[in-house]
Amino acid sequence: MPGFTLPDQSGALVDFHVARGGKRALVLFVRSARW
Amino acid sequence: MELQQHLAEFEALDVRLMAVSYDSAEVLAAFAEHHGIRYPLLSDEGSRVIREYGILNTLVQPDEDVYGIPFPGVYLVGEDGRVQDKLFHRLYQERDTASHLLRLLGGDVPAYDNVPAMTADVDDISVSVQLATPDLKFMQRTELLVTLDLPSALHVNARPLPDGYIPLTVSVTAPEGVHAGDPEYPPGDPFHVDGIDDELNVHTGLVQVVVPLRSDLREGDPVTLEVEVRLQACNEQECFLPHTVRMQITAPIGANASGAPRPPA
Repeated sequence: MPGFTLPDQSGALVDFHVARGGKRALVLFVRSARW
Repeated sequence: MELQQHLAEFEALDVRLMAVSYDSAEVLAAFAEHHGIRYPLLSDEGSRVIREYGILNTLVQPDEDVYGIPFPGVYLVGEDGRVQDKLFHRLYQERDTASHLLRLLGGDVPAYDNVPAMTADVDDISVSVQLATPDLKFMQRTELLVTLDLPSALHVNARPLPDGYIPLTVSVTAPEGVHAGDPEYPPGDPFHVDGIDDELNVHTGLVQVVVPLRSDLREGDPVTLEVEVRLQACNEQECFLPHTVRMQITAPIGANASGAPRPPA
């Protein structure tokens, strides 16, 4: 899966493949937290 | 919210959970604090990653306020970083429950408290039906779980079977606004009877049949699902009369979680 780096809710940058630490991951794409 | 409630079950499977949306980090922070979310909520403001992954919701027009949202769905990424599975939906309102996602991971359906459920007994077999969630929420994909607990001396016939045999069959009649999918049966075990050439399959022990459900109802009175379970119990020597067990599950219509409170100006 192509990697990506995005800020999380604390504003910290999260590198996806680093954050999953070699484990399986579920990446959910959701519409919005506002509505 | 619901995923957070079952975060421990994802962690027990050693799976990292992350969610991506086009919201700002500030909006995600307010949402996380309001709902007690502890897993990463990632801000794809501007929808760069959403576009790179080719999942930009093209049913939303560029001049609409919500343009930039993805088609809702999930990627299951393996330990090697490769996509093992994916599940995406056409309608932006659709969402998957923890139960659905845990099954995708090969885990057990989580144990829920206070869910609509009913149990019956036939031929020493306990047949129970329960909803995988406490209620039915608008466009949320959940499941109806039909579980048979067979004593060690008994089995029930499983598909595929030659003509003339009665396999375990589950059927669900849902009210208007609730959609029941095709039942998902576990694989049976090969079974041979001396003197019979037919290739048989059977279920033994704990057997769970999953019926996918989706509700189009935003509000209203509780709805009732009619469930029929047809089975024929057998032991090593003989088969007993087939039975049809009829049960009802009444499920409340729940409200979807509120969005994030607006951050202070």
